[in-house]
Amino acid sequence: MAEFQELIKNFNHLRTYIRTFYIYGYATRNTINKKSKRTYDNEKRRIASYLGEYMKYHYSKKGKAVFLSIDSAGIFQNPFYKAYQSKSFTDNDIMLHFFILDRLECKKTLTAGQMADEISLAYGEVFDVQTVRGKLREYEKEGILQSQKVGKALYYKKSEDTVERFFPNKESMEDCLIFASENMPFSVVGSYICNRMNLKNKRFLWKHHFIAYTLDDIILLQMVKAIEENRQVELINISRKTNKEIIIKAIPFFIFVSTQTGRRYVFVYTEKEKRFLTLRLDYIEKITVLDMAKTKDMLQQKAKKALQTRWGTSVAWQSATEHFEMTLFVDEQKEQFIIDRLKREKRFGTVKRVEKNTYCFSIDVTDTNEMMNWVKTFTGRIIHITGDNQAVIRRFYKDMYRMAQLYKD
Amino acid sequence: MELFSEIYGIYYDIVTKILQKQCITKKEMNEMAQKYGFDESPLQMLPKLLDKTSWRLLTEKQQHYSSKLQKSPSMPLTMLEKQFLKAVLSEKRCWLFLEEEDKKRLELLLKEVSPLFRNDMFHFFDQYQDGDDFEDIAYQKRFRCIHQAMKSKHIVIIKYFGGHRREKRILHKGNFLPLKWEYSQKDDKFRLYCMKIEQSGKTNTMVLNMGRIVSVEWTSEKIDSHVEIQKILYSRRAKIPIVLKITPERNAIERFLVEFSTYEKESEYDEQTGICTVRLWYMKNDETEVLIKILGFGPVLKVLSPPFFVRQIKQRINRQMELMAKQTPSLYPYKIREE
Repeated sequence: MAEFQELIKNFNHLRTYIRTFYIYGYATRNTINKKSKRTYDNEKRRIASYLGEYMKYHYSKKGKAVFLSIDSAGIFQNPFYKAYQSKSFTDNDIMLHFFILDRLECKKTLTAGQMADEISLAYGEVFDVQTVRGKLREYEKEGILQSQKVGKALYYKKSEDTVERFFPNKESMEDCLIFASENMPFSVVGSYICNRMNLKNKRFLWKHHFIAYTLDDIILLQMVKAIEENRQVELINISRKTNKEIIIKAIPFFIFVSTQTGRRYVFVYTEKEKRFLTLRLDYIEKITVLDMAKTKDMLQQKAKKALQTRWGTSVAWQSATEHFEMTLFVDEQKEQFIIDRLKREKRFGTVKRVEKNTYCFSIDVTDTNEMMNWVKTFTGRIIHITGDNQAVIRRFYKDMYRMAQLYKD
Repeated sequence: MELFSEIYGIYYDIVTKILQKQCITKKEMNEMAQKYGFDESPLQMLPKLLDKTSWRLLTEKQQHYSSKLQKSPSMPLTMLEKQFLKAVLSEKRCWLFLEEEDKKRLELLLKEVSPLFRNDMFHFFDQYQDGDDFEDIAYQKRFRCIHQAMKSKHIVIIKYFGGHRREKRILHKGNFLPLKWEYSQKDDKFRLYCMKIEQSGKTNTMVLNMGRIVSVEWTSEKIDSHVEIQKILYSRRAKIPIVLKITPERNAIERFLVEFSTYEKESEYDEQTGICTVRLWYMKNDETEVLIKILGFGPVLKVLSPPFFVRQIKQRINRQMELMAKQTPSLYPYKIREE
């Protein structure tokens, strides 16, 4: 039986388990829908090792459920960054890392062959030239090393972009880096820089902070690369309804980030179905960047147009929009905050004062249904709603009736 | 360029720290692995570090270990890190914390580097529209003055607009010690956690919207007191959680748990009924926000307790029924309950 390893090769398993424990929090060893009980035990043990202080348990009929209990308003750094620091490596990897950087600090430039000799002389460790060359190439790709050809020989040197050169005054950059390391896409990279500089958050609190977003940055990095280079991607997407893998070949255009619902999406075009789609990033299990998307330029205008009248992430099937109106009662003397709320939350809709204490919100939108959660947040002051999509309007009134029944004494 | 790579890993970081020491004992290595590593890191790392056939980075002399390296280890910034920094330079919120000198130096150093992403690749489609005006010079000045006071623990005189009273906002003025910034991406706003210092010397913790602060005046007075922000946050937390039952209709369980993932919660799922019971903790000052978010889910969930919260939901529903009965009685003949 293989010994338990704290570090991992593949981030994807861990990503799924952290989400299961953090978002859902009710799965037990018996109910979790994963490969095997042993895998569950190992992943749980790893997560306990990385995030033990947040791990809690409760007992149900089905057994012990593990969950991660985190109030994102009370944390100073996203705890899931720790998961990104768990990549496994070989003995050769770690030795070559320190030996190569040390040799280049002393000797400045070396070829792969010279490096292998130097390592043998300085530390008494013998590596074949191919292994050393592989690591030198890898580190050049990561930007740690630079290479220069002299005649037929390829010389490597250490990049001059040191932390000290970039940040001579650590304190003056501290808050900028801490802020960026929690609030920007790929913020985990900001945390890597903060770790190197030993920076700690002393001055920030976060609100409405969706810390699980970071788990999908591993997919997002490839997606952003594909968008930038106008490439197609092949995605392995997990269907929410069937829980089955679906392979989608698509051209990615934009990333949609919700600051309210905890979801991020990629907006893509599929050649096969000849239509635009939005796919949840957390449902994408694997991404492969493919060849150039030749039709992307032609689709740009169409893509922008499809986005103009959307409330959320629904994409227009046709150019027609649905008109929607909501009339609200607002006590102008006491409830100015409701008018402010309407103005800041209306997106591309309009807000008009109809008469004293009565305001009307109107909009022409791709999919009225997408707005209804927001509409229902005004429960208690909706005089009436009207619109083209009668099914949605009817459902709203039915919902209100059901709510009244639900809370009936 | 890898996001998930051992070069950013905790083990490499701990080994770097160990190799930076001239001489180190096994006990000290164990302490470092405990301090900086994961829970099981000491158990997993130490045998590898000490075993002469594994990592072979140390030499041992009478149970004292020293690095085989000739220089203190350090790694240059990676391309991923530089590309991230380049993206930071185009982020207007980050400018608030960036000295002009630092910004210029970084721009020069990163001249040849492309950003990790472009801002126009991302659409924050539901972000509120009345966020702070980060590009306003006067806003930046006020922000930096408060930020400086926060760092040096100076008291500042702040004039700010409070809540609405009869359609008008009231202008307030007071002496404050800035404590922390709170940023919300949804609101795209900074709020200032601060301590108000009354003339009597009495202090009171407050939260001010940065966008409503109209002037900041520096004073030479300093306070060297330590305020525990965790205690303040804890005191603002509702003592009793909201308990609710969510049905699987309209994928409500998944939608709710994802949307409320920023809150501390406990959930239990009944496989027979398909119903999920959730206990949710929240900040008292967010009560209305939580309430309307819950209303947004409609009849697919029901709040069971606490009673005062259920009462507020009932009041809103009853008000809604009354409004609808007046407007559309023929279409929707609801019976209005007496309060």
